[in-house]
Amino acid sequence: MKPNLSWIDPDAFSIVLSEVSTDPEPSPTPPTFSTLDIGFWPENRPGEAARQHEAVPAAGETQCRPAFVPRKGKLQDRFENLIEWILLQLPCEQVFLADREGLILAHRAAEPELVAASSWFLSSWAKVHKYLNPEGLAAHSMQLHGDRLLHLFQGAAPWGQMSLGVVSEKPLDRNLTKCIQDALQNTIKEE
Amino acid sequence: MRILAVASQKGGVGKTTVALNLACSLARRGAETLLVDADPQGSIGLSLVGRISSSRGLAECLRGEARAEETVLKTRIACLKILPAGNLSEADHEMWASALADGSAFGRLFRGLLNDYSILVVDTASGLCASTLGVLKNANAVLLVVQAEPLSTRSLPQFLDMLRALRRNNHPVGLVGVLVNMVQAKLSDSTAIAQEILNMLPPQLALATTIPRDPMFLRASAKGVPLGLLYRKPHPIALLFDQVAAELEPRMGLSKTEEENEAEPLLD
Ligand SMILES: Nc1ncnc2c1ncn2[C@@H]1O[C@H](COP(=O)(O)OP(=O)(O)OP(=O)(O)O)[C@@H](O)[C@H]1O
Ligand SMILES: [Mg+2]
Repeated sequence: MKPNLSWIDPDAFSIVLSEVSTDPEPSPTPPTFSTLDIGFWPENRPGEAARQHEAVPAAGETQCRPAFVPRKGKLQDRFENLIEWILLQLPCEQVFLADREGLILAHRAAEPELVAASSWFLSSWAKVHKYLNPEGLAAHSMQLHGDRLLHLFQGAAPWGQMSLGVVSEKPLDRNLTKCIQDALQNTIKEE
Repeated sequence: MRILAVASQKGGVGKTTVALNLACSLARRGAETLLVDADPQGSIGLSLVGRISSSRGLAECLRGEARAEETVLKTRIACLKILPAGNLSEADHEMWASALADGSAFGRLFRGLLNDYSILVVDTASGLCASTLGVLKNANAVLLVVQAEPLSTRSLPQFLDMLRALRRNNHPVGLVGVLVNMVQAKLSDSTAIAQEILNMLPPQLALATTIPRDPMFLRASAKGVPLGLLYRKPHPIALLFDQVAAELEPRMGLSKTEEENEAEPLLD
């Protein structure tokens, strides 16, 4: 048998390695959506979002009910909590949370191509958006084929940019947009 | 944005050397790269000639005295910028380090850089130093550097245990590779240990490229330049960092989209 120079027990080592390595990253694919209808609005920095997640709607705007209650603990649980809450706010065909490279972190019925395209789009758009509104995070709604809309939100997590996508036939008004953006920031901010 | 921390348990294994040369290669291959000197000793500054060592940098940003955009230095390589360590008085060191360990100061700094770079390469101080912990709490990837000698490799499990503890506390930092540095091809003890480490790593963590121990590194630091800029025609060893960059890019999601990366015909 060969001498073991590193004094490492290979079995114990491989267990630790499996616990500390990153998940493989998918490459983003080009976008598949057709037309584009872009809107953006002021956003709250992470600290402010915590205080403001019950926004006051203007007359005729959607009330967020129930109000978002961030969950503490594991990221995966926090993501699930956000998705569950979004599903209560509007009828959704797909909901997804992804990292900048389009790696899906949590979802309901998301199409991987749409997620990858969204992350790709959002990271490009975020650069433009930064000039237009340096204080805010980007959010957009765009038309997919049919009457479906893709609502996209940029999130600033401690580990990098994230995207939240919601596919729905329902357009979002200012208040609901703000509630969702705040809920996203509340979910991904540091504890 | 990807935040890649270049780290090791043991000191002097080549973290700064790897961080500097890898950042050059990533930038030359097209990634908007910011090299951050998060070692309080300011080793990147010590490795480069020019106005870097007296520059304001990380220390001033973290103290709230400067904004990162103001302190970032442009370099000769278009896509590469450097955030120097900045000025830290001896008296500040201890207080400073413990203030950084919880990671929130680095978190705020990194968030502010979110849209300007595709990758941050962060050179860290070795071991469980507080500033390194602060960086690791905000990084999403770690490149672990080991020297091809027994002591460095024996410290590997200790580092991985620390990483595991961070992950269990919900910090999304993950190992993307282990780079074996200073391999001495003519010394069987050096090649044997390099081989032993590589054999223990799963394919997604092993790097096919290893870095030999070579006097060119001494020459580059004597001149105060990264290896790739030592000569007009890059030295073969500088090209090894292009290979390391190419191996790491897909692991960090830096690969181009299929469309951007399509083959181009040689002839029209
Ligand atoms: N492959 C190599 N061949 C020869 N010399 C090398 C090699 N890699 C690094 N060195 C030299 O080894 C010394 C230590 O390297 P470096 O400063 O990069 O290590 P480090 O891990 O950053 O150290 P520290 O823990 O003090 O921050 C330097 O003098 C450097 O030039
Ligand atoms: Mg160093």
